Order: sequence, then C-alpha cells, then structure tokens
Amino acid sequence: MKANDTVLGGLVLMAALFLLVTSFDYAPLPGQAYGAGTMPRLIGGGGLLLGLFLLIGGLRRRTGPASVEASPEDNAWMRDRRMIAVLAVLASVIFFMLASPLIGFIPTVLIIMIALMLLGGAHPINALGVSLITALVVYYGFSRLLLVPLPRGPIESLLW
Amino acid sequence: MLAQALQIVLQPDVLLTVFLAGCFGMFVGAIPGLTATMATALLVPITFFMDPIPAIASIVAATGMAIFAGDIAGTLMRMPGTPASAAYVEDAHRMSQAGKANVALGACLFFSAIGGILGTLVLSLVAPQLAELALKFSSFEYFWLVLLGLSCAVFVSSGAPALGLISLFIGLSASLVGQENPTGASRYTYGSVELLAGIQFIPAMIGLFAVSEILRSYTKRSTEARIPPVKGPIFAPQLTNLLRYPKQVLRGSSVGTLIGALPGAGADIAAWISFAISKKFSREQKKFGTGHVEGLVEAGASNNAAVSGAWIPALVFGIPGDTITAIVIGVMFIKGLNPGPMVFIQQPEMIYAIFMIFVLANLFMLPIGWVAIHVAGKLLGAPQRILMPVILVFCAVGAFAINNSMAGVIIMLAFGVIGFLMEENGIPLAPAILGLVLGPMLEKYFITSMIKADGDFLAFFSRPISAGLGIATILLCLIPLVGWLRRRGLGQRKSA
Repeated sequence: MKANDTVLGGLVLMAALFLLVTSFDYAPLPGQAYGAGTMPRLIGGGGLLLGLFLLIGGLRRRTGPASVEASPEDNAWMRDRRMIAVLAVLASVIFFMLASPLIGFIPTVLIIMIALMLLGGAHPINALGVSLITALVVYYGFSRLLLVPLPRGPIESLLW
Repeated sequence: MLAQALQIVLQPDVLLTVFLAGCFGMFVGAIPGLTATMATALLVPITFFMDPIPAIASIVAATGMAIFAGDIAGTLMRMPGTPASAAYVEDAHRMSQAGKANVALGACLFFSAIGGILGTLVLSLVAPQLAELALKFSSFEYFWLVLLGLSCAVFVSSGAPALGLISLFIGLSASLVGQENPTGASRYTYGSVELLAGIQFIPAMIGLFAVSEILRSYTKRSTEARIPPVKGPIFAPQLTNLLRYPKQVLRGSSVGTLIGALPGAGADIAAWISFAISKKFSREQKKFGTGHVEGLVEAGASNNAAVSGAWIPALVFGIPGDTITAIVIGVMFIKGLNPGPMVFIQQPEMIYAIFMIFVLANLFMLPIGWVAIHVAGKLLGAPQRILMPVILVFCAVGAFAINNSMAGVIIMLAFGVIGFLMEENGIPLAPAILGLVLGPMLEKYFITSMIKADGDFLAFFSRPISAGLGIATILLCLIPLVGWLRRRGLGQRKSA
C-alpha cells in the first residue's frame, strides 16, 4: 500500500494539527509557562512543518515533469489472493481477542493457525499437526510453566 | 569484582540460556525476513520470567547469532537473512556459486566472532570511563544527548531524512500518551485505564518488527528454494584470511563499534559503511562484487562489532544505540538494573558479567554457527506458510503476557499495521522506536532544564559539555539541509 508524498504529507499535517489543538487542553505547571501541553505543542509544530514540506513537494512533483507516483507494481499484491491473506492475518488477531475469552486459548489459536496455513497453501495434514503441537506447547509453556493466565475454556479445563 | 562477575556468569542456568538463546537467534536470523530485532522482541516475554543476568544473556546471545545467521541465507540464496547482511550479499553469493560457500560462510562466521569480541573489548574499556564522565551530567547534557540520539536516528539511517522524520514524528506522538509527564495529567488516554501508563513498549515493538514482517511475507509470492549442502573446511581457510587481511579486521571492528555506539545507527549501516571503506582502500578494488572475500571479512566483523558498540550509550546513558538495545533498556528497567552511570558504581559486577556474556556468546557462536551452516538446507527450507502463523501466535501470546491483558494485543495489532504501512512506503522503523523510548526522557529533561533556567533557552549552552553537545546536534541537523540547498542551487543553475 504505497502512498505518495502528498498523501503522507496530508496525514502528517492532520496529526500535527490535532496535537496542536489538543495541547491547549493540558494546563501548565503552576507558576510556569511549561507543562503537559509543551511537548505536544513542540511535536505538533514540528509535524506541521514536515507535513507542509511533504505536501508542497508532492503537489509540485505531480504538476512537474518528474512525477514520482506509486507504481502499479508496488501495489500489485492488493489485487489478488495476497490481499486476502493480509486481511486474514489482521482478522485472526481480532478473532484471538474476541474468541479466546469465550472458547479458550487452544481452540482459538488452532483455528487461526490452521486457517492461515491452509490459506498459504500448506498441506492439510502438516497444518493440523504443526498447529496442534504449537497450541499445546505454547499453552503448557506459558500457562503452566510461566503462569501467564491465558484464556481458559472447556478444553483447557479438561486437559490441565 | 571480576571474580564476582565470573561467578555470576559461570552458572549452569546462564550457560544453558546462552546456548538455547543462541540456537534460537541462529534459527530466526537464518530465515529471510526475520531480523535480529524480531528475535529480541519475541524473546522479551520469556525474559520476564528470568533473573536479570540470564535475561540479558539471552538477548546478547540471540542477537549476535542472528546477525551472523543472516549471512547464511545471503550466501546460499542471495537473500540476506537480516538487513545487516545485505551489504556484502553479492560477493558472498558469487563465492558460493563458485563452489566456495564454505570459505564465504566460514569468513562470515569467524570474523563475526572476532568483530563481536573486539567490539566487546572496546565496550568494556570505554563504558566505565564514559560513565565516570556521565556522573557530572545534568539535565542539560542529557537533553542534548537525547536530541543527538534522535537526530542521528533520522539522519544516519538509510533513506531520505524526510521519511526518517515521519517515523520520528510517529514515535514521539505515541510517546505522549499516558500520565508520564510533568504535571501527571492523563494525556491522550480518553478514559482508558490501560493507557494511563503510556503505550506499552514491548507490544509496540512486537507489532512494529514481527507482525509487520508477517504481513509483508504474505504480500510476496511464495518461493521454493533448493539449497545445495555446504562442503569443505569452514575454519581452515580463515587462517589465511586473517593473515592476509589483519588491517581490515581491525578497521571493520573499530568502525563497527563506533557506528554501533551512535544512537539510532546499528549493524546494517555499519556493514554498508565498512564494505564501502574496504572497497575504497583495497588493493584489489576491481574484484569487489565478483566474489571477493576481503569485503566479507571487514563488513562481517563490522556488523557484529556494532552489536556490541550499541551497548555503550545504552549502558552508560540509558540511551539506546539501536533498536535492539532500545528493547534491552526496557528489559533492564523491569529487572531493576536501571541503565545509567550509577549502575557502574552500584553494581559493577553486573556490568562486568554482561561484558563476559558478550565474549562467551561470541565464542559459542563458532560451534553453533558451524552446525547451522551444515544444516542450512533444512533451516532455510522451513516453509514460511507454516512458520508465519506459528510466529503470529507467539506474538499474540507475548503481547498478552506483558500485562496479562488483551490491551497489549490491541497495541501490537495497531503497531503491526503502522509498521507494515511504514515499510511499504520506505519509512525506516528505527526512529519511531527511538522516539517512543526517548520521548518521555526528552520531555523530562527539557521541562526540568527549563524550570532550572527559569525559561532561558540560552542556559542549554551555558555549560561546556552541554554547549558542545548542542552544537554537534545542530550541525548534524544542518548537514542534510545544506546538501538540499546545494542541490537546489545546482538545479537552478542548470535550468538557467
């Protein structure tokens, strides 16, 4: 997802304006001109200059002869299966957060790993085997040995 | 004190940790796309449950090995396993095509270990001296030091300074979140209890360096590689290389240590610069790029020396020299070993124990590396489509384990997406990480100094060391500006 300087500059500019505006919500130290708002103001100010620099540079190049825009090849992956895979990785982390407190750690990560491996074109038996071993080893290692309270469900209660 | 330090190091659990973490680092570094920083980020959740010295030992061992292991994939497949191997991948790969993979990999391994040990020697000589000097530092000096570190990260890193500045802006903005500020106001937390302590650093790191890399791996078409086994002696040819290129080894190690010590510039930049120096001063310049071992010797020593060098500012000032030491500083704070000059006075045996672990890890590298070279075929054949989902689960568990809450996983995901988009646009990650770590320090030293000086900015130049650091920082920021103006001037003259 390659963006050009104009877009990057615009994003930086918006973030910088946000920092500048919100910096006034934070009162200074009593009797001083400095406080919690100082740093947001300085960083916002720097961001403002940077954003303008990128934006102007980007707009100039667009009208000029030497236009450097994102080439179609940079974003080729967004138009085929690979885009689905990238979205699936993101979705699986969200699934982990939502599902693991309900059904437990082991089934959640089993579903995630098997789905992602199959999507990547792995052999189903390999996917199942590696996922099962990983899920059990990670759960045992972190939950039993390192005492991390990983989400428990019916399966975990049955096993340990 | 040395005996005490030796006693700390020569414990079975420390030795075992160094060995296991070394194997882990070797594995992670060998796989293209997985970096030494990622190995560290994945290790951190486990180090939480260790004593301070084994925890730090595991990171030292894993990173050193990962930097070397990056050479294996570079040599055999022309795919650098870590960015630090990219500088000399052409020469190394051509040597392997000419049937000299054993010589190339042996050189990388042997001179990595030498570079690492020489870098450690410099570290152990320089750090205590610098710490003595640092005791005299006040908030003014620290302010400039932090700013110098951030400027180095932007202007020394690869790529255009504007992109480095975007990265720094992202990191500094993220560092604003939380109560860690002069008035203790809940800044940008919007009612979230989890955000009061600020954006948790470790989940952010796991996101930036591991999750983003997983996402990237799915944007590439999968390739199946066939790797021929490495035949022939590994170490024997290195004796000839050592006798032939002693100057190069020393030069590579010193340049590497120096660049590593600069905040923000790590092993990858050290390797590029050392390779360039090696070529410039070589008597056989024409052979570079055609499978010549000289550059490998110098740059291979340099990138491992940089790993040690990066610990100089980290231990002495608490200011990270690269992304790896940025994580290390976080770990040290959690372990109660607050980096800074005081640790040299209060716990010198700990510091010397860390130095010894460096030497130990570099010695362990030789046998582990020897095995890694011989099983390289199997190591590199590990299919990414199986590996990446497993790593993703480790990332999620690691981010969860930091505070035993899903908030860490949310931060990991957010920074994973940010890191992925940054890399897609050629924005370097290091300035963002340094901004996130150093942001609160910059604020603390700035506000404290301003209060001390009663708002007079000239006070930042009133002490000699502070003035020197200030001028150095300003000059560093001006260099790219001058270059830009000159380019503009030339362009206008051409068009006139």
